Amino acid sequence: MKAVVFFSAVAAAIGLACTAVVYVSEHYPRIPQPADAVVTAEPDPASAAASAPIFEPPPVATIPDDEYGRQAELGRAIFNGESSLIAPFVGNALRCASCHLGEGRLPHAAPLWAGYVAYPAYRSRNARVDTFAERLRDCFRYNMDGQPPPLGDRVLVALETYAHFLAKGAPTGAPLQGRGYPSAGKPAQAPDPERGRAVYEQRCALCHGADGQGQAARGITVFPPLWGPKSFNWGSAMSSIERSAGFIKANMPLGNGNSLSTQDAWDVASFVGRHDRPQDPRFNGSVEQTRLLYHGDDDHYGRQVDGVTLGALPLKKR
Amino acid sequence: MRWRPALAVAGLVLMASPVAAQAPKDAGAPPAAASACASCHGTAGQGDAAGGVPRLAGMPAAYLSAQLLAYRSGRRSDPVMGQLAVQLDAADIPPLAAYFASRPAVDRPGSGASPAGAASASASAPAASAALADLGVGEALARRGNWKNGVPACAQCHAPDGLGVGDSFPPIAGQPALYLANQLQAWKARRRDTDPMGLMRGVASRLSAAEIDAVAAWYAALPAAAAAPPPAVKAPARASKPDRRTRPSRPAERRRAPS
Repeated sequence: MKAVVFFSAVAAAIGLACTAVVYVSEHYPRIPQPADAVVTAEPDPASAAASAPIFEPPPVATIPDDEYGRQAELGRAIFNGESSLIAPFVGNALRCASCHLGEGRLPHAAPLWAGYVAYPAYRSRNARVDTFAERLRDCFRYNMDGQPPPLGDRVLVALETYAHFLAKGAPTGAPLQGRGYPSAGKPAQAPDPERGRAVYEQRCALCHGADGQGQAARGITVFPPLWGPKSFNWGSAMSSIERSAGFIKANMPLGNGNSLSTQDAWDVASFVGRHDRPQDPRFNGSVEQTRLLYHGDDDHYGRQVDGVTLGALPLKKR
Repeated sequence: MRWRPALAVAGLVLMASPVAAQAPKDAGAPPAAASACASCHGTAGQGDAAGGVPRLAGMPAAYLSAQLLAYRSGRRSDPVMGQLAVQLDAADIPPLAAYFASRPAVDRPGSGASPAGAASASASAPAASAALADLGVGEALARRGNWKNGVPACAQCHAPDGLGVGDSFPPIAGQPALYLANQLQAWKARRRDTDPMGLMRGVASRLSAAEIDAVAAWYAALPAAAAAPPPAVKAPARASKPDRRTRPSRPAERRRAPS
């Protein structure tokens, strides 16, 4: 009898523990891990190149001359920063095409056609399944440091139509080659922002400015700011050093992708990441808690740099 | 008598007025060295489209200085410019560059700028029909690039209106097509290497001769000066109302919102 009681008590304890785990995981956001981010780092492009050719979006000239086509063209104009419709939702000097190169067509530069067919999908960032439109809203919230348009807004409809057009014929159900940014590989030495400073001065400052604030002319951003008040905020996935190293190695300097070594890409990403930027929209009032919940070792958020704590700027009023 | 001091002061003031009238609002009179430039580039630096001579007016002073230094040292080669530049003192260069930079970059007859070309080339308001129809080769390269060959859009560095940014990305809009094509060929053949980080050599090496001619013609037809800024577009007071069923964005909201 005692053994039965003992084992049933153990079973009850295990059952209670399981219930507790389910309850906690449902109500507290998990610290995002790179492994389950939807836009994952790609496997080594060299091995990917050995497989099927990369999907090609249709030429812009084939946008049809009907209402669908007009929405797609409007989406393209919004994407390129050529439409003022986006203005109420953008809080910085970036446009979509700043990081989604080639008007959202370029493989290994987060092309829209690969993003479109990947949704709806679970995203641990929001602890739920997101539609493509909801994924776009996060772009406004984090990367554009702005206010996301409400679902159904004509800006979202136009952007989604443009993405749908680009994805014409692309299969769903499996991640497409060329999706997101490739992995920059593993650096031989730990990323060093001081080595990264030298890389920045030689390979980046010409376009993005010695002060990282980019260059603008006649009211238009030509080269985007990489840090500071007009750049993406701490909630953006681009503030992750690993993610930005992957983007940089594959795509920068512009037109000269894959010219930086893995080490240089990581070093300069670490250097860029050592500067402050607008506050994370998920900031709960405590830099340390926000760091633990959302940043960990992915970036320099919450770290002291030159006596200043990064990520301590007040939250923008939205 | 009391009127004499007043008359003397008035006389002095009036004598000074011609000096004041002559002082132009922008840069002063052309430096003496500029007279050597006028025979090819024009007295106001407008260039010569037929001869493929570039416009200097309105170009960034730092860019012009860098080119003159490059001609002077032989780093950039041209039979005429090389000879002229070596006759300059290094100290002559900054005022010369500043003078031409301050000249207005007005469009001139015979530059190749046509109303139709300028209208369809306006990058600030792409017409729907231009976007839906096939773009010409030149416009496509300028605005979209040719990423299959690793060529970014020219506009990504030289700005959507082709009028450049900063000191290192000069205006190319409204420059003679012959000049632009010659320079692209020079980058491609590695005869010119004054481009920082080899950016232009890389780009030009991935352009065909036909593409070079097309994109040069495209930019030659663009306005050489910025248009008046468009009237400020009034952004909507609030985001437009969604016209389809919305979903709350947080699990907590789902619980709070009445279904």
